[in-house]
Formats: sequence, structure tokens, C-alpha cells
Amino acid sequence: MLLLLKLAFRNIFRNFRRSLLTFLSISIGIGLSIIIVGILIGTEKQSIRLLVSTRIGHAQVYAAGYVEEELTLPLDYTISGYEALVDELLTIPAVQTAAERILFPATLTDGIDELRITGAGIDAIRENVTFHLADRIVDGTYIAPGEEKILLGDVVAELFGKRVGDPMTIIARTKYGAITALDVEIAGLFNVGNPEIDNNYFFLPLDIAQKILEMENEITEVTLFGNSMDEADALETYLNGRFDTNIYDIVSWKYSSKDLLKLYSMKSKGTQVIYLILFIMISASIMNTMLMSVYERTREIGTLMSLGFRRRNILSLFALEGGFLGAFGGVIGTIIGGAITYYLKIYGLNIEFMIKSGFENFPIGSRIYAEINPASLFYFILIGVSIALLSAVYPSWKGARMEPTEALRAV
Amino acid sequence: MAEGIFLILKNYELIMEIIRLEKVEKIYRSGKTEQKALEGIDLSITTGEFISIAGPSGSGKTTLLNLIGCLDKPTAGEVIVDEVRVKNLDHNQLADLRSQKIGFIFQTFNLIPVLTAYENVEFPLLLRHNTNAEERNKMITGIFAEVGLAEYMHRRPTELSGGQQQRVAVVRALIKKPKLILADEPTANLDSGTGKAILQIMKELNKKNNISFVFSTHDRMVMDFASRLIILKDGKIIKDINQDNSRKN
Ligand SMILES: Nc1ncnc2c1ncn2[C@@H]1O[C@H](COP(=O)(O)OP(=O)(O)OP(=O)(O)O)[C@@H](O)[C@H]1O
Ligand SMILES: [Mg+2]
Repeated sequence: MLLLLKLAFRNIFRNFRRSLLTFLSISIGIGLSIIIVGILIGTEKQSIRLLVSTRIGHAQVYAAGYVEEELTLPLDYTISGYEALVDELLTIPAVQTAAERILFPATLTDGIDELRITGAGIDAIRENVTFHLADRIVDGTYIAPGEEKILLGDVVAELFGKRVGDPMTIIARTKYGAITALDVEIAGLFNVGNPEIDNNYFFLPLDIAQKILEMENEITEVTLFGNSMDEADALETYLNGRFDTNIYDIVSWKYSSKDLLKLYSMKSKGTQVIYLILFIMISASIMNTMLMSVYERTREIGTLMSLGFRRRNILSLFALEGGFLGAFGGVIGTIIGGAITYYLKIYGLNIEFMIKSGFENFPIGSRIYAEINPASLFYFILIGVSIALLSAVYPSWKGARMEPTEALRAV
Repeated sequence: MAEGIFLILKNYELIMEIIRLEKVEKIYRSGKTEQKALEGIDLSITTGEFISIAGPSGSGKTTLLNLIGCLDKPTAGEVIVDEVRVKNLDHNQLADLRSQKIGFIFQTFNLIPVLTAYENVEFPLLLRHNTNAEERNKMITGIFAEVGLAEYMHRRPTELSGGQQQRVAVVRALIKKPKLILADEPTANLDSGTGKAILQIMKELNKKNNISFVFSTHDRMVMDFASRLIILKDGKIIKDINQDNSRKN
């Protein structure tokens, strides 16, 4: 066995350039895979975290039936007497913060241009405790109950050519379907870092929203934060046990971000194809290298057989050579890919150019931070070695099944 | 070390048969064409013989050596190596038989290029697992000194001349004390002086260790070296001459 290892190891350096090329293709393949996976996982986590921290919280409470139609922001499924509900929610130890809201479809106009937008009536204080909205004001002031004022995304304001203090008109339908309008003043401009909110939402005091929508003492949702995202499922289960599911739809962030998750699972199919291509690349290069070795060294195979090498020894020798190449390539590729991914985890990758080219509403900031899991790095080395070994099997087998006399006749 | 072998083998005064071929026939088939390479070969080789196989090109010399060396099996007839019938052995058993009983020397030297001269010689010993590092070291350095290669021991084959490589190959074949060493045209790639030197070494080792040598050749001078000359023609043995009068049967 030691003899085999020695032979295999030295044979790698025999055709140095070819081994180097094979080694490079393996390490680049593995390194790229690690970086791609790191960025993808990072993107996914980051955008979900952003969605959670700016829009959906850890869990939401709706009136029963709401979630079925949530995309249309219906006002038919409302929670009335919500003060008591929010108070009760806040007594639960696992609930840290909660904020009630009305989300409604609206049109915002300055008399010339108009924009379809989502209105969000918020309890100014609780919204700030829950989503820290006041901290996200980039110009002007936050809103207070009773004021007929709104907060607008800075991008939207720029689009309209509006500044803090300028008037706007909200047009919406009341709960009963009647068209209603309200003149408001822009109190402040916000930027929460989630394009979905920044480009598509405006905020106004809850009592004003209730008034114009004829929803006295009603809301459409309570958004709450528990201890952590990981505990959200348990929280959801607990809340569904505690509250009447005939009255409430209670879901965690996992449910509310399902469209996003679906998007990522589609994307991960795409990555699987990339993987496959990379793996085929690695595999082809190893197979090619090993086949060439076997043909070039045919007479040597015959010599080894004449010395008493069994077929199995020949097979092991070439498989080991492939395995060594895979191991070197895998380790180096993992180190380099891991280092780059780690850099991208700390410093991020600037993706402004992408955002400007059609991903405006993608819920992610202008920087992607990759994720890296040290345990999975080990797994990548393993993949490198196994692909290399598997790809070396066929060439090795070709060498091993040669007849000694035939092999010795080779020039 | 060499004395050691000599002493052990001295106790073996008996002349034993190590190879017997009975009505051996070898036919190469490729597709529809058949090529009869050997036909009706009966042959017995005993310990300590120094045999040359001669004959025109295509007469079957290599084929015969391959059969004797268990690198191949006959189409018909029996090859018996040290009382073992080769016919019934599988690939692994043949490999083990070669490892234990037979050494090979090739026209093209065939040293393993990634191993040093020393490691090439060590190789057959490692395959047999019956020596420790210290024993191996003693054996190998001793034999390198004997054939005058002590200072080249740690060179790779590419750093040696053809004659030096062939001497290493002879040592590699010999080191495991096989019953028989086969050499297919061992001097064909060497100039006549170097070839003669190699033959001299082989002959010395043959005498000292009582190991049988069988080599094929085209060269008249080389044939004269042998104590027994077998001449092949068209796959048949046409002459089997004892050339060594001093030698008892
Ligand atoms: N693998 C093979 N397939 C088909 N025919 C073969 C094969 N090996 C040898 N032969 C044929 O068998 C016959 C004997 O060949 P062999 O190589 O034994 O001759 P040789 O005496 O060693 O010749 P040379 O002196 O040229 O080395 C030749 O006619 C050769 O063409
Ligand atoms: Mg020949």
C-alpha cells in the first residue's frame, strides 16, 4: 500500500504540465462552486432577513381568510377590537414586539402624475418599536397620530419631484368600495433598504387610515417579533393553539416569504445545472488525463504485471493518482474559494449595477454578503476527491484489464 | 549476501526441473485471422541452466518466453512451473507465481521511471512482503556493489546509461531469488561490449546462485555464451544443443 502511494504520488509529477492543468480545472471548479453557493445562500438569507425586518416580522396575525387573498390587500377580512389582541400578544413571553397595521391599495397623485402604491396605516409608536421606522427617515420628520401626513420613500419622492412639506393626494376605496380621497402633506422621506418597501409603500397614521377607509377600530394585520427567526415556527404553533383559528390566520415568516423562497428554489435548480457543468468539466479533465496516462504507460503496466502486480494493484495505482489530483485540487480550490467567499461575507459584493438593470424590486440591498459554512467546505473537498476517484475508475480499469503480453508489446 | 544465497543453494545439490512444457501450442487470433506462433513444443528446464533461444524473427521466441514466464497461457498443451499447472490459475495466481518464481529482463530495460535504481530493485521485495527494511537495505546495497553500481544506486533510470539500466534490471530480476530469470533479447539495445558485460554478469550470477537463465537472441556471439542452445523455426524447436561440455547433466 505504501508502495502504491509512493508510485501514485510520484507519477503525478511526471507530466507536470498536464497534472497542473487537471489540478487547476478541479480547484477552479470547486472554488467557483463554493463562491456561487456562498453568494446564493447569502443572497437568500439576506433578502429574507430584509423582508422580515422591514415588512413581515417573525409572525403575522390576520383575520381568518385573509392570507388566501393577501395579494389583493383585501379590506373584507379585518380584525376589530384589536387593542385587546395586541395587549394580549404583548403579554406572551415569547413575543417581543407587535405592531398593528392596515395595508390597502391606493393611488398617490400630485394632480399631474399618479402612482399605484400600497398604503400602510401604522401605529406610529409601535411601528417604530417593531420596525424602527423613525430611524429610517432620511429627510423631514416621522409621523404622529392625528396628523394628515405621510412618509414616502425617497426614491418615489424623487420620481414625483416632491420634497418634504409638499402636498399629495391619496385616492383609495373604502372598506365598502366607495372611492375616497385625502389631501396630505409629506412629513418625511424614508429609506428602509428594501426596494419592495422603498418603491411601493407609503405610511400614514393608523387613525387617519381608519377614517378614510371607514374602518373605525379595525385593522388588517398585527406583525410581531419573537426571540429569533428560528423560533418563529414554535411561536406560530403556540399562537395557533392559544387563539381561535376560526377567527385568526396566524402565520410565521416562512409562510409569508414563501414566494421569495420559491424563487430561490427555482434559482437553485439553475445552480444545480451550473454544478453539473462544473462537475462534468472536472470529471472530463481527470478522465482525459488518466486515459492519456494509461496509454502512455502501457508498457510500464506490463512491466508492473511481470513483477507480480495484480490487476487490482494497477487499478488502485491509477485510481489513487486521480484521487490525489482530486484531493490537491479540492483542497486548494476549497481554500481559495473559501477565502474569497469569506471576503464576500465580510466586505460584501457590490451589486448596484444589477439593481439598475431590472432587479429594482428585488428585496436586497446594494451589497450582497455571502454566507460560508466551514463544515460544508469539508464536504466540497470530499466532492472533489470522489469525482476524481470516480472519473479515474474507467481509465484505471482500462489499464488493469490489459493482458501483460499486450501491454509489454506497446512501444 | 551473495555468499548467503550461494550457501543455501549449495545444499540443493539435486538438479530439479523447474519448467516443463508438454505439447504446447499457441495460436494468436485476431478477428478471423489465425497465427500459429508455437506448435508441438516439448521442453524441460532444470535448475542452474543457462539457455539461449535463437531463431529468425517471427519464429516464436518471445511467445515461448511469455508462456514460460506465465505472462500468457498456451492455446493447447501444458505449462508446468515448479510443479504447478499454469492452465488452472487465474490472473491473480499467475501474478503471484511470477512474483515468487520468475524474474524478467527486457530488451528495453523497463525500469520504473519514477523510482530510483535502488527503489526499482526494492520493488519485487516489497511485493513479497517477506523482508524488513534493514534486510532489504543490506541485500540491495550488497548486490549493487557486486555489479559495480554502488554509486548509481540513488539515480533515476533516466540518469543512467543503457548498460547501467540493464544491469539494474538484472539485479531487479535477481534480488528476489527466483527459480528462473527470463530475458527477451536483453542485449539487443546495447552495443556489443556492453551486451557482453551484461551477459557476463548474468552468467556469474547464474553460477553463483544456481538460478536458471533463459534468454532469446539473434546474436551469434550471445548464443555462444549459453550452455544450451535452443533453435526455433516457424514455431517449432528444430535444435536443442548442449554447448557446455564441462557441465554434467
Ligand atoms: N499478439 C499477437 N497477435 C498476433 N500475432 C502475434 C502476436 N504476437 C506474436 N504474433 C505472431 O506470432 C509469431 C511469433 O511471434 P514472436 O513475437 O514470438 O516471434 P519472435 O521470435 O519473438 O520474433 P522477433 O525475433 O522478431 O522478436 C509471429 O508470426 C508474430 O507475427
Ligand atoms: Mg521477439
